[in-house]
Amino acid sequence: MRLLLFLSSILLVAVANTSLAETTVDNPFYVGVQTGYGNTDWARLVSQDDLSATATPVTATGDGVTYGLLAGYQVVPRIAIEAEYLHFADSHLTFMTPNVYNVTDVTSKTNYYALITKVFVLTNSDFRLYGDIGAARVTSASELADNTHTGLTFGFGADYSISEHWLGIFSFEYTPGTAVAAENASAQYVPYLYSLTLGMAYRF
Amino acid sequence: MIPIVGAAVVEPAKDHFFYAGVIGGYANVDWSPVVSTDNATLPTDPTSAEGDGALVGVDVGYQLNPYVQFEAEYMRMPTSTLTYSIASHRDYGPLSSASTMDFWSVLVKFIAPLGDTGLSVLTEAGPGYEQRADNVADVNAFTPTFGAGFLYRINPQIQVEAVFQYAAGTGVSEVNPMNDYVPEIYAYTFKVDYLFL
Repeated sequence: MRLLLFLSSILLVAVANTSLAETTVDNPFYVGVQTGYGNTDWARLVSQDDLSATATPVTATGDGVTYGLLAGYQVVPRIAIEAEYLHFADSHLTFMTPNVYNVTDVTSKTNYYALITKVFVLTNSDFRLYGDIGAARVTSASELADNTHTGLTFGFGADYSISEHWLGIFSFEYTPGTAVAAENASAQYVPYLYSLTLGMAYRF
Repeated sequence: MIPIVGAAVVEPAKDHFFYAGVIGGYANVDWSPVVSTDNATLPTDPTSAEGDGALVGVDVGYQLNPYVQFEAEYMRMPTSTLTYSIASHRDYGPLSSASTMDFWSVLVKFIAPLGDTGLSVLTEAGPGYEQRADNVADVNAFTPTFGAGFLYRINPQIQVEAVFQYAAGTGVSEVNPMNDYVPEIYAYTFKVDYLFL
């Protein structure tokens, strides 16, 4: 809660200072699509010894194409707020038998929803660099369990003004998941997410 | 260029310089992924872990321009208290033990000044290194670290910051996960830096 208050205060100060901006933003709203490479990281769950293999997977892969939507508002030239959605490639978990779930292969689906604040570094060209931070909600669904984790997300990237209305975006984003020390750890784990995406947005 | 006789001489503000300072604040060293939540994990995992407290540290940095700074920092995180069940089958010695955490990081800071207020918002990211030490294991890990907060120039030679910073840590699934776990860190830092102009 303290953390959310702190992050909210950053956003509020940024928005409240709109009148202090060096220049105004012509087309502050933008919507777009994004796609790229995503990794759902199960490394903290993958069993390292035979005893834990009765409850956690022996292998887990979660690489593949990720895609989604974005919508944002450029508050001032150096600050934007953005809502994001990404669908990650299916993760495939393999369990040793016997195990506490009586399964061998499990497919898990992961979705990511986030609200982030971007802080830009302007350059002399149409390129901008940025770092971002925000809150993310990650859903992880499989035959073992449907889990949801709300936490932080972080990233950095660059964008390029292709024209007055079109914006190209290159983004790296990292979203920590969560793990629990329990016999059914596999049913409570939410993977850690990495994404590297290219986006195209229309500004209006 | 034609010199303008009689024009006021205004020194351009120096926008690239080195700085150094001290860090204080509060941090949570997060052990929750290894705190036992059922009887099956009682023999190997702590039953409780308290990792809240004060942090202290130092930082050095270089401002490339008013919008970008590079920074190296060291922080001594609060010492955690780990408590094990009597059912613990390991020879941990006392059922309660202390765990220390040292944290180093190198950061790129993106800074957005808010008009002429002297106040800026910033985000930061970079590699970090965590060093955990206690009677179960000494474990080190490289980790991504990120942050966000405010920067304020009190006067031409002093900048202060209030920054939240996160480090991801690491962990693995094994019978004794305490052997390899490196906690996540949530740090609320306050920095005072002297600028070498």
